[in-house]
Amino acid sequence: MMLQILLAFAGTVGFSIIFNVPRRELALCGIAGACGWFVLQLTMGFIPNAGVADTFFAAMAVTCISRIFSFMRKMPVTVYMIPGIIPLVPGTGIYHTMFNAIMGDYTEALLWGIQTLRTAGVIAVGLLVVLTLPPKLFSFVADACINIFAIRRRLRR
Amino acid sequence: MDPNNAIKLSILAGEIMLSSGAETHRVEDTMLRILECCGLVNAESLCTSTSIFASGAPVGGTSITMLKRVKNRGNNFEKIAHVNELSRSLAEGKIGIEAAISALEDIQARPPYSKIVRLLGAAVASSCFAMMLGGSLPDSANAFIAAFLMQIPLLLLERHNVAGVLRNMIGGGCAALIALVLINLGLGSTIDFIIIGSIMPLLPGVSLTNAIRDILDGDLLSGSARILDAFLVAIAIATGVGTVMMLWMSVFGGVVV
Repeated sequence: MMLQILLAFAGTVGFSIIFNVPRRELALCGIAGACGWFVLQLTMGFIPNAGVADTFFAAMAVTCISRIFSFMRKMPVTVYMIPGIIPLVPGTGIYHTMFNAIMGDYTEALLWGIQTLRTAGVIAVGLLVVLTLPPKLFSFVADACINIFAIRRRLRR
Repeated sequence: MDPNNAIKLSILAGEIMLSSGAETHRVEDTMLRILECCGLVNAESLCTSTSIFASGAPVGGTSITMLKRVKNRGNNFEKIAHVNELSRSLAEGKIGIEAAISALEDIQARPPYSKIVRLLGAAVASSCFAMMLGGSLPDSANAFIAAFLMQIPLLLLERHNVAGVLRNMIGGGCAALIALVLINLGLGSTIDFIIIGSIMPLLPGVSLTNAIRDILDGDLLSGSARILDAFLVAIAIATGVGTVMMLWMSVFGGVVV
């Protein structure tokens, strides 16, 4: 489990470099990605046969944490959200769909295709649900985090 | 205040954002906000997946419309962040229109991460995803090698401005070829994880999700265009992989799938 989260962190940071995320935000992107993967694994562990619920919760978690980061760092949400959902996104599904279609295995292609669209749709809905929540909710949490950091820094001095 | 400059500023900002991979509604929103804080009335902005339109009128004047075709599309979140910051300081009145235009031109010219860093980023991402999908440690190491080697021809193609279908086909083909060589050298065990891991940076998972999000947002036009685009990219990659696998099987024999 720990290894999986570390892998998600490193993989997301790698992707963030391809997306040219500013250097100082790379680690936060990694945290967003790791958080999504952690929630996914957690839901899969607690609810067997969760179907698409696990991806839905993971997408919501990624968006929540991205919105908090975006208020903390005064950056657009996209910078954290898109790298963050990369571990969840059905990139391999699209590939399997098309590969099976090209190789002539149409049943398999159809199965993969439906699954891909379903996963992508669920992630999109998860993002939208959290993105439509009032900004005050997240700016409040972000301010709280900033204050905690400031107090800790003062205590250390 | 020159209304022509305001429209130009808005179009430039929209162009940078769209070609850096921003969502449709964010592009429209930023463009509209720029037009409004430059004092134009009846301001409207429209963004499809390949073009942007901005329109507005100075108070008491006739309306002006400008459109721009956006051809190259990539992902560069640093530029999106900078344009966002600029539009915010424009709204706060900290910066004038002319200064904003020259600042945008600076943003547009900003170089991305150096090639070797991007190569390593892709390789690290590939090896991590190969393992997250269920591959073993050797598979992950092989995916690292394959992704690294596969990005080299892609960077060469990028230098010669070869983009789109051909680039993705070659990427898929190279990934399959390298994976097959590694397997036959006895280095890897599961070819699926190596190939999928190494083509991960090319796969349009994010575009597909964003496309569906656009549709749910009500941007039907750009959403459906982006879905089509995502499937086209996937077809190109799968064709590349499939072709190389077929050729390998017919030349060297054996069942690889």
